[in-house]
Amino acid sequence: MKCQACGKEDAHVHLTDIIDGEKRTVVLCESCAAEKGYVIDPGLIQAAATQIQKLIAPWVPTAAKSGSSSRTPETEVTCPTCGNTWSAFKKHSRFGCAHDYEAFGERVARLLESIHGTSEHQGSAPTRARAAMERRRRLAELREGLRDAVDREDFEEAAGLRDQIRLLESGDGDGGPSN
Amino acid sequence: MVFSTRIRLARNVEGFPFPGRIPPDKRTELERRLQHWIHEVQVADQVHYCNLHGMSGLEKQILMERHLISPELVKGSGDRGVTFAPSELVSLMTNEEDHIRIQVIRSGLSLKEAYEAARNLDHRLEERVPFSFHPRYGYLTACPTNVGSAMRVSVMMHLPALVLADQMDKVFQAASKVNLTVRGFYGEGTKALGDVIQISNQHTLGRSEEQILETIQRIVPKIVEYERGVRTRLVNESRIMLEDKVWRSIGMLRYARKLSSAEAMDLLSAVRLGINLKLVPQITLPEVNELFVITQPGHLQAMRGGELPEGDRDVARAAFLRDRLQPEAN
Repeated sequence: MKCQACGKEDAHVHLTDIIDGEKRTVVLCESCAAEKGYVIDPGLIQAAATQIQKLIAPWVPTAAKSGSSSRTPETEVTCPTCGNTWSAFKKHSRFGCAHDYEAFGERVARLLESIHGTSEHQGSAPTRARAAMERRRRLAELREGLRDAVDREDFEEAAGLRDQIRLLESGDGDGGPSN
Repeated sequence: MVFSTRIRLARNVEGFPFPGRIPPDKRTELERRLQHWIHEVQVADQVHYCNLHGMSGLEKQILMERHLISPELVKGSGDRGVTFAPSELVSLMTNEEDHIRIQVIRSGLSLKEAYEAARNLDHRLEERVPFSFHPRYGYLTACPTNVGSAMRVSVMMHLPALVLADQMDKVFQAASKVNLTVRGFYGEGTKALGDVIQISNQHTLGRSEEQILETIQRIVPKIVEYERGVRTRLVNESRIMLEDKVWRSIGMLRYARKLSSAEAMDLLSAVRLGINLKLVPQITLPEVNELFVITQPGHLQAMRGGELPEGDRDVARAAFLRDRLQPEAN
């Protein structure tokens, strides 16, 4: 909206007068308002702006805040296979290829947890990956058993479970996309 | 009350970017290879394949109205296709949001049957096609909301009494308590045309396929009971209101001069309810179900021999319905 006095500058000052019960509003730019004797204290404006900023601060992502809990700016990550970036992913909510899942690291796990409540697959697997899935689940079971045994201070059982875990782990590597 | 059960499995092929990011030449190559694999697997005795690239808008519309393809595949670009059996009970979309989307449909609530058919197809394809699978995240998909089992189970239900009695909110609440979503007639983000909704699982990761199926198996009969209960109540307490609604709808269908597809679906929904409640002996359920499909824009235009602007379509639709629903001369 342009100033009603000079018609040139943007008007940010709204002046409302009530004369004989009638309300009239005039919009002016800062210089014309000052000329007419309406002095605006820039300090007041600044104070108001700061107050508003404080109110909305929890929801406004600034340079100091980011999605990560470490409160450092999110670094860009790129998938080496298809060139998709984390920010492109956030924008379109679509992965570019299967390798994005590994390339974007723990952010993927956290995202999946927020969508599905978990990041661990419990369903079926293609035949060639079935053995690896079974091993993975068995390991998760054993580890939970170990934590439980330690809590209960049953160190004999804990030792037994730990040995079983070591045995399983010494097989081919866990994690990463299957091939 | 339960029209059909649909099971969809999403799969992606190793070595190719997802359809959203695949270069056109690779997309063409992948589409060709998928066609070859799908052909080898022999989905049915006879199959039809359509590549949507270069297809007319009308043809795409018809495929969508038949629930063989999704609105997303229609809106897409480049090589992408659908392979389906003439029975239309199984269809495979290629290069939609994911490389392959297997879809199996069965009538009524037939979760086990539909799932076994889908799984069977999945296994036969898996013998030839390297699917992208991650030991932690499961089957990998373009959208994170589909990862894991990559399975979406949907049950299509007709709930006119619940809509009439303004009780759909309760259905939404009951569904969301067990992490099921309620969507409209064409799926994601569409309106509940003709009092038809689709109930499906919201999450695909962290639950086994059996657990997902079990949840739906548990909830759907409860909703059916609820609908049945409200229908009984309406018949007992508001019979005249019900009859009036049903017969007004028949009146509109028999005499209106123009009808939009949304209007027609709502009117036909009331007629269907009337038939279920034995208020309308003159019209049969198969007849009204057929009308539900062929009064949709794509089907209507195909019947009339070509594309029609919307205004003309609405007139043609009304004429067609008048003709089909004329009271029989005794």
